[in-house]
Amino acid sequence: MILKIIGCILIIASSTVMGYSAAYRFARRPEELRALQSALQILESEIVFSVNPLAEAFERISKNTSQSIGIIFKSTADLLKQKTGMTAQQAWAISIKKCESQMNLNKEDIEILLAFGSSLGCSDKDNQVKNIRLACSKLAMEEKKAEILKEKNERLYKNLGLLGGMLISLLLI
Amino acid sequence: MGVDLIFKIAAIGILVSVLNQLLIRSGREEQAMLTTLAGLIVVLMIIIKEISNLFETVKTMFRL
Amino acid sequence: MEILQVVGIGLVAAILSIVIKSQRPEISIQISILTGIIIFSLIAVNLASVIKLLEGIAERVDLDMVYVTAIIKVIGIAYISQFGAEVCRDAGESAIASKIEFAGKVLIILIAAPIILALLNLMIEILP
Repeated sequence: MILKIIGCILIIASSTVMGYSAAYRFARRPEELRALQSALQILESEIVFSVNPLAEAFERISKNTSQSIGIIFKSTADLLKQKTGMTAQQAWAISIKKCESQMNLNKEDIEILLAFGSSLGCSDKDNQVKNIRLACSKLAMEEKKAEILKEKNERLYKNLGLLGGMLISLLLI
Repeated sequence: MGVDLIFKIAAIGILVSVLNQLLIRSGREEQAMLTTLAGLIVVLMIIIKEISNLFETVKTMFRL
Repeated sequence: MEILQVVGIGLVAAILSIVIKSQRPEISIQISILTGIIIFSLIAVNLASVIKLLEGIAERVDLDMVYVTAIIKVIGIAYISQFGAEVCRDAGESAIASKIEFAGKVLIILIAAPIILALLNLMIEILP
């Protein structure tokens, strides 16, 4: 009997945690999109006003943005600083691939970031700014969508985990 | 076989209806419908075993 | 005391069934079916001894065993068809319920046919 109760508690607890982590993903995505936008804005001012090289600008951005987003900029800056003859686009793509699992972004967001990287550091100031603005507006659109998804799914997944665990343990008794 | 089976089915019913409400509230009518169906089938599986049990008992008892 | 057990199970199941009925009527029907089955299986042992008693009496008065088994079969069919019909009526399907009862009646007449024939034969023999 006690064994059964312990098993039920374990099942319910683990499925509740699963539900919460799924809800956390939905809650994190808009925040990360917002952080990305502000990072891009910093990049814009770095390009327009301070006219720093990309590696240095990225380094500075990584210090000013939150942990999970800062990692991309940090690793891109590191790759560029090694001076292996890698273009900015390649470094950007590689570091996005590397950090993909740590972020809560989905495929479309990654797609936007990669498209942004494809013209990174290979045109004049005006075009760079245009490119950044474009990526920013796309990200803002995704953020709006993510916000709606969050409203819809966050509470659902939290409750779904708990109730699903209860249902499973009930069926197994 | 016993009273706990009644409690089990009642609990499944309550849980399924709560899940149903939750899914409908967040705009997922199809999944809500599927949950209802799944709950019904699970309970039906339990019930059918017991019904066949009952029929077997009646058959032997009344020599049908 | 088995009667207390039966009444307790019945009351608890009734309350649970009412609680669920407004949300999931189909599951409340299944609860009522299950309650019927559980109560029957609780009382089945006693029923078996009652049937033994009937058979014992029949043996004592030298009744033909064919008739006794026929009566017991009739009781069994009546119980089962009543069970099914009541469940259907509870679910609001009184048309299906009346069909089940009809089938039960037909089968009961089929089983009782040899007895009726024997009775008729007896009457023909007695009458000149």
